Amino acid sequence: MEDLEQRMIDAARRGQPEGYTYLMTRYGRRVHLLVSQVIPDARDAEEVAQDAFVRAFDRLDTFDEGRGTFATWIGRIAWNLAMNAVRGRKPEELDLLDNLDYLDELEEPDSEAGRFTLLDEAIDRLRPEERTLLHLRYYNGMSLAQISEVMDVAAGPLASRLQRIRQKLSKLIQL
Amino acid sequence: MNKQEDRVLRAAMERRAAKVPALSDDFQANVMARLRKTHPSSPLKGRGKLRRWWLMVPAIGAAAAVVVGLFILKHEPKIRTIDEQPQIAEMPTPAPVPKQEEGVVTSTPITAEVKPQDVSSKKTVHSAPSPTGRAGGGSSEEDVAGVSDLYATIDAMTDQALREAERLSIETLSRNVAAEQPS
Repeated sequence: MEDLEQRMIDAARRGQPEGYTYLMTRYGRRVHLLVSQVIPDARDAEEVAQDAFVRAFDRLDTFDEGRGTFATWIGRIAWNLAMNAVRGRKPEELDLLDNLDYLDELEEPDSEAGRFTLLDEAIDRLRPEERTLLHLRYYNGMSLAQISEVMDVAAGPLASRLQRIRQKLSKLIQL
Repeated sequence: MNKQEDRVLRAAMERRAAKVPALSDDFQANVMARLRKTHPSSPLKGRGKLRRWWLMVPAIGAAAAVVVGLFILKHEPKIRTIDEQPQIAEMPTPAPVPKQEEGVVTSTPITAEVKPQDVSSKKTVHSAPSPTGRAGGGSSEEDVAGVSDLYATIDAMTDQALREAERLSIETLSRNVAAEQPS
């Protein structure tokens, strides 16, 4: 872990505002984007992101630098809060059903823009866990081990899920 | 895994992220406000006031030290001049009479009128420990009784030692005188 980040974490542990400010500046957007993979509404996602930081700062004493990074630690908190927020809602309200069968009938896109538009729509139809997996892997550049810390799923099953997603989207991602 | 497919997926996720609006300007302030509610006694709250209070600590400590010092000095034994010091004749108990020996020239016990007072003798009355403390000490009896008793005891022991020294010096003097006299 970077020395500066460690010092800021220690400062936050002592209740010093500069510690909190540094961590929110560095990870605020990251946490927000993670939550938005589960909660599409931006305002709701921001509120859950706030919850994540409040909870993280409240439990900062439990963060163990030797077991992982602050990024994966707060990611885990944000992921759990986001999933708890959507549990209890009807699946059709959240589009939790994976409905990508239409892709089988889809013709291959004829342009780059068309490709990404269709890909975006397809990713919207993925389950939140699958969407989050794609986001952490391809946007954050996390390894499967790091994603495992965030989503509390073993790396093996994550690799299988990732392969399955790629197969579903193959028509859109194969050039 | 196919690197080309990885690039396409990476580009797609970046495009999606760009569509998510930025955090609101008061995001951090809202988090801090919620933290203060859950941790009202933390340094987060009233940081300016806390800092000012901390600056006063050395001043308070110095003032406390001055007060303690004044208290100690107030109840320190007052060093009196020789004229102010009391006479031994004020002692309620009579001085012991030196033991008379046959043929020994005795002299009258040295009284306080003749003997200069030791400046270390500081009590008002050379008597049994006084529970009332020192003269001028208007402090609580409970506070100074112990100290006064100690000083009284020391004074009494000092007087006793002085008297014993007088007796021994008289005896020695008497022996010398007797030794010089023709047999």
